[in-house]
Amino acid sequence: MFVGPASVLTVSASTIDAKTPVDASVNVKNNMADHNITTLNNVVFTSKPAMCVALTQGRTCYANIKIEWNAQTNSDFCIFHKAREQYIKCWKNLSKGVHSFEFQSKEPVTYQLINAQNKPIAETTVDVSWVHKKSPRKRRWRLF
Amino acid sequence: MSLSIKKVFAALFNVTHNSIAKRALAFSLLCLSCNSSAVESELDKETTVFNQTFSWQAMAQFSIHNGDSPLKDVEQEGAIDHLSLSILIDLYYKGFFIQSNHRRSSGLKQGAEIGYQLHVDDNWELDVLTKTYIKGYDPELLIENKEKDIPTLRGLSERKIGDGIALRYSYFNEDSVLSVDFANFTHWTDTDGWLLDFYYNDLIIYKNWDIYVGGSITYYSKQVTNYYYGVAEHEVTADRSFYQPNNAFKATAEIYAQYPLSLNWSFNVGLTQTYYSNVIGRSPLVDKQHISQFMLGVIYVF
Repeated sequence: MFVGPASVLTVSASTIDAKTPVDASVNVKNNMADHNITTLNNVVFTSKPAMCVALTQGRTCYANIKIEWNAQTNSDFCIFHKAREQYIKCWKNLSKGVHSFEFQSKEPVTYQLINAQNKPIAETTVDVSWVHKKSPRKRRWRLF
Repeated sequence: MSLSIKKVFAALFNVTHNSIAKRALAFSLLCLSCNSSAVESELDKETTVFNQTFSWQAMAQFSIHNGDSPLKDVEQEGAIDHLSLSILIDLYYKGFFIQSNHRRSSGLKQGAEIGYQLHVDDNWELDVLTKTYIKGYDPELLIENKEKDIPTLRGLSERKIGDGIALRYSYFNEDSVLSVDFANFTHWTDTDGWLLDFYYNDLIIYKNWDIYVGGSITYYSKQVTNYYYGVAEHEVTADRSFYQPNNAFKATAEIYAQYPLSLNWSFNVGLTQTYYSNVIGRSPLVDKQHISQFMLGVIYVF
């Protein structure tokens, strides 16, 4: 379940351009199987795990996700849901933060780390995958 | 694909080549005359051979299972009786299908179906198929494997597996399926007769879990019951009296759950409760009418 904007920092979603890409030239992305790390200007932005696996293609996938960020200096930061243009959680005058929540989605979800100037400075994506591809052929199986 | 169709047939059904050829020929003749309205199906993988594209899916399953046979004194003993490794292969090509039983812990031997979709509608389907409906038993082998004498089975003739050809009607409603199989054993195995199988299953989705709850009632004709649970005059001994049963039935209730562990692995667990009717229960070969079966395993999807 997503957590709404925290009271620590009050900003409006309309004041930032969520579609603004994070500068790829200085963005180092390490998309490992178990977690997704993005570093930018000494800011580390991590989602763990980086992938949610559903049993069948097309199903809503559920996972407990931990998003973690680390900066060198204290400032105001927010985690932002890029597609929904919605703040997930904000921190004021801190250099690191952790946010855990229950992820549920059929599609990959990208989260951005927003700085005090309402600019996305890093992003991380939780991918959605599946074990079995969706099959139009309906199944009838029994156990024994 | 590395396995030939013939090998797949053999692996799934554990039958002789003659039998495979007989089935393949009969199915080809039957299905050439059908005008299938089946929709194209899509499995995990596709392979093109001679410009024809097959959909397929291959899995390996390792499981631990527990559950006795209804046969008298036949029980699981060593660890090997409780462990199972199965290769499951599904194939689909223009209405023809081979569908393995993803839940069964001994997928190589039983549960797989070879069939053809005669008609596919939004919420119902009509198939013609062949599968092993009844697990046979070889008394000599059972005694040898159990390393103990089983008086009721000593000297008894082998009861071969019950392969049948069936017509199946399935009705689908959202996440549930109700199907009826009418299977005939004549000309296909040593078993004469027929069976009628009613099966219902409902899928409950809870977060990443798939939970299936269902049950079945299988009605056996007296020829089938007599072949598997009857004792012929020449088989009568001091431990085994003459028995010629009539029609009988078997009822099952089951719950099965599957959970994804990673992109290729899933965990599965299931429990089945089976009840054999009194006609089977009275057989001198049988001493259990209620059987609980449990399985716990993992599936790897290639």
